[in-house]
Amino acid sequence: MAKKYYRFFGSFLVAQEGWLNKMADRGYRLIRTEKLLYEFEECPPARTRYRMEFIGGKSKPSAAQYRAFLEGMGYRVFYKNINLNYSVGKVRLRPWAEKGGRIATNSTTFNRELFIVEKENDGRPFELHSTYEDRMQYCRSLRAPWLFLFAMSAALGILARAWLGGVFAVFSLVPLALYQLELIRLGKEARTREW
Amino acid sequence: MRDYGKGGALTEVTFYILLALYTPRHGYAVMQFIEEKTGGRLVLGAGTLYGALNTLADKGWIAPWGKEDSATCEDNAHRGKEGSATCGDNAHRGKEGSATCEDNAHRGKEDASPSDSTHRKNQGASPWGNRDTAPWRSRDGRKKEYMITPLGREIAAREYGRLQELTDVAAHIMDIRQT
Repeated sequence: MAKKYYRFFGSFLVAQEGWLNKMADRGYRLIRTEKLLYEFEECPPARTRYRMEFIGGKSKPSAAQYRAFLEGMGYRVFYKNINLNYSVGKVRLRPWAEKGGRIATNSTTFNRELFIVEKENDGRPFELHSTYEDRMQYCRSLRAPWLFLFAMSAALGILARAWLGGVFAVFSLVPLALYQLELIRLGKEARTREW
Repeated sequence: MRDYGKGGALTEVTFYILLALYTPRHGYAVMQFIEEKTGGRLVLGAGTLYGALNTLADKGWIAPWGKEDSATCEDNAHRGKEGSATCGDNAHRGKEGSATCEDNAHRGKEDASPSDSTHRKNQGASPWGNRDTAPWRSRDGRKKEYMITPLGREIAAREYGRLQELTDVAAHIMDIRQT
């Protein structure tokens, strides 16, 4: 029997991942997602494990290729939105994204910034990124939009003397600092070990 | 990736991927190969493997198998409809241009596209029921395989030589210290 839950996690990927894994432990397996909706069906407890993956910097073909690869590895992949935005014909500029992904529209990567990756629980840790170098690269991709937001907000706040710019700059500084600290930590580890 | 073809050392992950692709393999098979050969010591994440395969393909050390620009083109007379190149006997190749030289007589139905839902239902052995595509397959029903290129083989051989040199130096120093 399907169960529906309505949640919004935004960019709190760890929280979303934790909640999905808690649901899996209780015996629910994700079958459908929409903007706020998570639909589950019953299954044996702890049958599945979930990981969140940020793909907001990828272009549409690149994201589709990655999804096909993950599905070829035996995982199930769901697209998920990071923003809560109901629109038609939306165009968003993402200078921090890769070539082909810098203009996000409803038909490309807008509202498809995340993957929910599901695998059957085999008792082993579920990691999508295992080497320090790859984890650093992923961390940089997570940091990029916050760095852009911080730079734009700070510039707006200083040049236009707009207090709102300052507020957004301070707001974006928190995740930016956290990702930067993580990058520094990984960089230190990567000096002596590969993974 | 910090892998320098001309002088520097390859990372362990890169070298293992190159070794795995001496035989055409898809991503999951590469992951299994590495895990098996290292006794479970090295388990690659799917994201790491995906990035590594793309990087090595960009460098020209590996190439998709079973396409026009495939890595090995030793005998073009055997090229199948898909333009796949292989060194072996292609007489048995299925329409999809199978990447391996194994018996592909069974491939017809297994390579059905995901739109063939009737076939998917009959595949069975899926923990996900009828709602999903069969496990281990991409949306077009095939898994993309890679194989090492001649350049990749050269890089791997160079790395083997470097590791031999390192092993010899380490053995010499450790032996001296033990005495």
